[in-house]
Amino acid sequence: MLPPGSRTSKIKPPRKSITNSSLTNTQAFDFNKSWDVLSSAIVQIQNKNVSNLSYEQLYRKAYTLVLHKFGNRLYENVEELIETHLLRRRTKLLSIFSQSSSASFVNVDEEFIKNVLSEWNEHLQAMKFISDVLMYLNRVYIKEQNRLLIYDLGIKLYKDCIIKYNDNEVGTRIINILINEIQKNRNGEIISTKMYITNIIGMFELLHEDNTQNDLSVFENYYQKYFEPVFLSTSNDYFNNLIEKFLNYGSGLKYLIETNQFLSDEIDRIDLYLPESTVPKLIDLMNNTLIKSQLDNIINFPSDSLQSWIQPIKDNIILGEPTDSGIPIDNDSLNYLKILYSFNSRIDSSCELLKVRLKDIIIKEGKQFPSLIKNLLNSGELGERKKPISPNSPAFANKWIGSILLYKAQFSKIVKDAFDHDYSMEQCIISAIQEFINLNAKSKKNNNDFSLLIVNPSELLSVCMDNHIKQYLKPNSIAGSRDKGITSNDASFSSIDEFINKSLQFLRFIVDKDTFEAYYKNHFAKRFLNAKGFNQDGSTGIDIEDFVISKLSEELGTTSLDTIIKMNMDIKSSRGVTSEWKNFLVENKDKSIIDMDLKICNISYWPNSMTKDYKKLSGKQMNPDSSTTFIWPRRIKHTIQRFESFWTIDKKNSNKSLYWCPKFGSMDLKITYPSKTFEINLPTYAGVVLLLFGPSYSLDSDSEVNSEDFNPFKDKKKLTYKEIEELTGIPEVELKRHLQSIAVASRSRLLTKTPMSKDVNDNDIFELNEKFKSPSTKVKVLTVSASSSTNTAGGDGRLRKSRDEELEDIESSIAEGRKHEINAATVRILKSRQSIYHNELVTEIIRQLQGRFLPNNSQIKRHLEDLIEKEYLKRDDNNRNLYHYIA
Amino acid sequence: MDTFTNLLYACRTGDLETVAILLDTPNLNVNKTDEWDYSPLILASICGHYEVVELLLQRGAICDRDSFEGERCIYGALNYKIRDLLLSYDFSKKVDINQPFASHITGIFTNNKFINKDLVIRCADKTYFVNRFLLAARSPKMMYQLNNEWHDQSETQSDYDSKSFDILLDYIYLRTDRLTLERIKGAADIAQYFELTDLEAAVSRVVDTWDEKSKSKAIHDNSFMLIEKSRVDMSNFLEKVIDSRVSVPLEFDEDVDYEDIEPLNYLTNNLKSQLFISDCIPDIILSIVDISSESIVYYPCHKSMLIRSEYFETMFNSEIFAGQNKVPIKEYDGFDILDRTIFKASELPVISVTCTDSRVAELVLSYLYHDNVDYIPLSLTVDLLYLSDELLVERLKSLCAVNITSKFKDFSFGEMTELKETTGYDVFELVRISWATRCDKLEHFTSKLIATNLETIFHNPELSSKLHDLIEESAGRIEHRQATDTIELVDDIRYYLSKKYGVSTALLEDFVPIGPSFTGVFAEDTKLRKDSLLMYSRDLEMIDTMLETLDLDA
Repeated sequence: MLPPGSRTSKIKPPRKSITNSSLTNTQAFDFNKSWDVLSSAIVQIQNKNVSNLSYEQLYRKAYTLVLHKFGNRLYENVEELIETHLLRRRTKLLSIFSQSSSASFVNVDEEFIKNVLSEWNEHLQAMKFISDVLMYLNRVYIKEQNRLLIYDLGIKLYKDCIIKYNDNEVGTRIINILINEIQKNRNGEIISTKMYITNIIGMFELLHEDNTQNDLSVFENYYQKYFEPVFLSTSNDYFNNLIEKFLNYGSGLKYLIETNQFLSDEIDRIDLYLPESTVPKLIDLMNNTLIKSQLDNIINFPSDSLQSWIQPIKDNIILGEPTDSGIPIDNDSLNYLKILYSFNSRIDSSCELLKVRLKDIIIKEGKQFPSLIKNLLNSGELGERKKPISPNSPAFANKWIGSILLYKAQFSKIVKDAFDHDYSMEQCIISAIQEFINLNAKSKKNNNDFSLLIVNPSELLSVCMDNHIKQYLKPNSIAGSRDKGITSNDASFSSIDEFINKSLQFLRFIVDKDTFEAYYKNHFAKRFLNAKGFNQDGSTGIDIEDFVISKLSEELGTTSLDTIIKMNMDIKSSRGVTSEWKNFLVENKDKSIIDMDLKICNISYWPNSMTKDYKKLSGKQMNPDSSTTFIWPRRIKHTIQRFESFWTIDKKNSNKSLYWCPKFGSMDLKITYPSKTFEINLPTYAGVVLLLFGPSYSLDSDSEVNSEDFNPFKDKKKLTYKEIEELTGIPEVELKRHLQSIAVASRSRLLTKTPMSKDVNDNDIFELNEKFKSPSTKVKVLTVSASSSTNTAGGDGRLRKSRDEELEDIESSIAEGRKHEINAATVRILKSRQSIYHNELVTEIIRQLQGRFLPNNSQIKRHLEDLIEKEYLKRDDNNRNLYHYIA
Repeated sequence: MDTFTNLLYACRTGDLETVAILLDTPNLNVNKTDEWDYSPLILASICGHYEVVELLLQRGAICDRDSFEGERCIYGALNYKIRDLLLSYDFSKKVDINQPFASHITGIFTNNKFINKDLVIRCADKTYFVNRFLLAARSPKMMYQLNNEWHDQSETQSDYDSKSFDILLDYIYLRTDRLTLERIKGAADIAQYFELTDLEAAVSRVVDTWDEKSKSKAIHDNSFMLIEKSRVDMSNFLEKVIDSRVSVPLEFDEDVDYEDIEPLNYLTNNLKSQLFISDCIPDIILSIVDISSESIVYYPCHKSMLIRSEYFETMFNSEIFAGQNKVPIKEYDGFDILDRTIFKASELPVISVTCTDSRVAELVLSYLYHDNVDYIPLSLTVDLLYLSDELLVERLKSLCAVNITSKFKDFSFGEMTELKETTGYDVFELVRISWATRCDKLEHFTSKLIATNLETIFHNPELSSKLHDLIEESAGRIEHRQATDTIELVDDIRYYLSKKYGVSTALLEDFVPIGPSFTGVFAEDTKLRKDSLLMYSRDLEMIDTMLETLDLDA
């Protein structure tokens, strides 16, 4: 060691022994001398008395011991020392319970966990000091032997000697105290131990369980192994009691609110004292017990639940004054729905249960709209009508469609405010609305609930649109209509646009788009044919029909609107022909010709219901079987003949034949009553009837008569119904209707009828009404509508029949159209697939056609049989379910 | 051949072991290039020695794609595996040999675990808490101020604005990453005022830049130069510390155990005051007992520097130490500093370390203060090794080991004898020392030395008996030894024997020359191999004989 030649020092150098064979030296080294110093230092540290310890000295003692290979002995002595200390402390901790009877502690439990904590903190502090002193042991011996570091050893010993000692005695006590405190807190008691709970749990988490398995990744701590299971199971019991308590309120709402409040309180609580790893477990537990098991129960609760929050929406819409924003669902209900939604999304992100229930309720509610509206309108609150309102009247249609759109808007608001903008909820609501709107024909038969009024959405939409378009076309003087559904009297462009958008919105709910097209077509034709002259564009200067058609085309596609587009073209070309004809007349100065506007329709495009009897009605062809061939007044007949020759000039229309239809159109007559001269506009049939009473007029006379020569009022011409029928050849139903218009209706009583009654009988006598008066010189005779005459006295079933016939026509044209579409789709599919199985084919057909209508299986089957018969396809010889295409 | 040339050669041949040893050479610049611009990394990469490349990169070899050398490394890489390895170390991971030192100095500024600051400097808009001794070490001007006007103040005002002062502190605390081009330009005045020539040089270096390349070079150079200068300053400052030491002779009538001497008891108040008022501005006194001169030596030191040793760090942070050595504290703006205006010499803590030679203590201080241990006398190496182990300074331990291993490379018997003469310990004692200090490098070296000279040792009764004891002790190192457990020392010796004779243990069992094809040159070769195999087997038998007498099986 010493350099050779140096003088011998009296100081014995350290470590010299190590370099010799150490086996003998180890024994020579006095372990106990160093250990005594260290152990007394450790005891002092544990007694919080470190002021006279020397860090260097202690470190060096431990260092020397390790250097002399006493690491193991040192480690085990330290372990034993700490153990003894902790066991003593444990006894002291527990002594509080035995003294409690005499002691003055207010709360023994609280005092106990407080002491445990302070013991823990002091122990950690002491371990930190000990660990600092034994750093060399940590670094060298422990690292090599892969044992617990001194500090960790201290924690382990605290667990083994205090918490878990004697069958987990202290630990169980603490857990019970904690659980008890938490329960108290849940029950709303204010507890003073919150801080201790947090700290105790922090301590539990630091106490690692010995890893008995070899899997090093799993390090369970005391909290996870002992506390958490107890906590979760007591929580489970607690939640179940809570369910019982909340259910006893007997109100879904109450359950919802109480539970919601509890959930948020509980989350605040666990944030405060539970580690993050437990949070999801407890939330899961709450979701499963408090929500999942009860949710359906709550939703279906007889009172104060989903149904009772949804119902007012419908009621408010029907009774209230609908505006764009609608009567908002009240904020409380909105809030409840929000809670309900949050509950459901806790257990199921797609909220299936709520969707199913909500859908059921919406459908149930939605089905009631028609009857409720009918009752409302009949009650006379909104209208002054005395007569019961028909479900296909414009007023009803307006109200129904408007209500449903409002209903939908309310639900959009709910989705936005309560359902977290959940698109799938909106989808669910839309499909529910769609379902109750399209409830009609299919379910009519199956539906046993006769109190439900079933309506046809396609028809009503068409009625509603028809009504609106007519309003728009009316001169401004008509403004002030009472119908306030979705129509507006302000015929500005934006209102049209808004109206169309709403119509389209509703149209999207309709499954059978083709049905709507058929009704729209019918209304369109009627609007044109029944109008006086050509509809003049409103103040906006746009052709509303064009506009609506273009909007509909955007929605439905031009192919499906093909016929309507062609009809519209007929209208335009009629307008052209009329002006050409008028120019022609001016050039020819032919006074015998009556001024005439022409409406020429191509028979194949226009609705069958209007055109079916065109040949019979034209009066051109004598039908021997019919007693009722229409007889044109001579002057009109003359004009017609002149026009026909004009029309065929230059053979331009030689490939077409022209028929005249008196059923449609109107006449303008100037009649001088004793009081005043009136300009009267009236339907063709009514006009022809009135002409019978005209001055020096005979239906057979060709001669020009000067009206001044003859005063019809002096003549007092009287005609019976039978006579009129013979003279005009107007079909009975029509004639009676028009006679009602001009002889019964109070505003336009141009004729008098004897006897004065509403119904027209064969022997009734008609003559000019001398006393006719009207506020204005211009009078428009409105035809008594088929529907209102249907309801009159109920005696005349023929008028009703005419409407039913019209509907049947529409239905049959729809059926015809569907047949073509199904056939076309079938052939298309087979052409591309060549062979296909039945089920697959049906699915594919439905897929292709669902945008237009929903074909049913029996329809498809029937048409398939047709196609097989027509040899477009054949069945496979061996497999009857397989079809082959025949090229 | 010098070390660097050896390193290049080892990198060529892929001699991982040699490369590893050579890399431990102090002050070796691993990124140097030779006359053909080859760096060790380029050679290892071109020759395809993956492990060598990896080792070089781990030890600070730089692979920067933007440099000529770096590019050469990556494009010259023999295979993709090496190329990917190089890319993964590319630039961002480069290691600076100055880094441990610089980051320690920076750490002094941020350390708040124990109170180390002892001066408050207030600028117009900012307050700084600094270490007096560092200011003194870095600037003579500041040293002067500290000894005069600042001496009796715990708080002082500065005329400089915080912009300049920030830079000054970044300079002193070596936060070179913050010294951007723009900022450093603002340091001209303050650098001149405090006579910081290197900072002035840094400013002018920056001013002279004109393009991106020169700018980045300037930044790099500045960072390097400033840290180098700091090390020199700290080295000079340590000279001052050592010069200020006081030595107290001990008089003993009879033999006394080293452990029983309490240095604190021998330091008179007068001497303590002398240390206290020295220029070094100490906050702790380090004492050692120098056996050869029978005296205690006291050094006026600085906690902030000593904590480079984990032992000191834990000690100073421990409440046991703090409770024992209370110092006056004053609070400024919520920040505690040591108040030197009322700090008394008697309050200066005195600590000691197990060291019997003041030269060894000074070597440790050199390492702690400036990272630079140029020369370790062989005779002090073992003492230094022990002390480094006690103080938990791993790097100094390996420097000690290298100090021995790099000086004995022949593994001859002559060297074995020399070892005892120069270090004071024979090879068997060194094995025990390597075990005690867990110094693998030394353990491998000594095992190899024994293996290489096994025949001589075996036939020398004295040495043979020492080896005998050593094997027995090695066997005892594993507690509760099982029959199947190996004896580490024996394994090591066998391993080095196989290296010596160039045989692979795997080949040994079934080495049979394959018939007639082994003729001519091959036959010659085979004969050589056969001979070495024979010698190898003979040496192995010696070991087995020893194990038999010890009744050990391994």
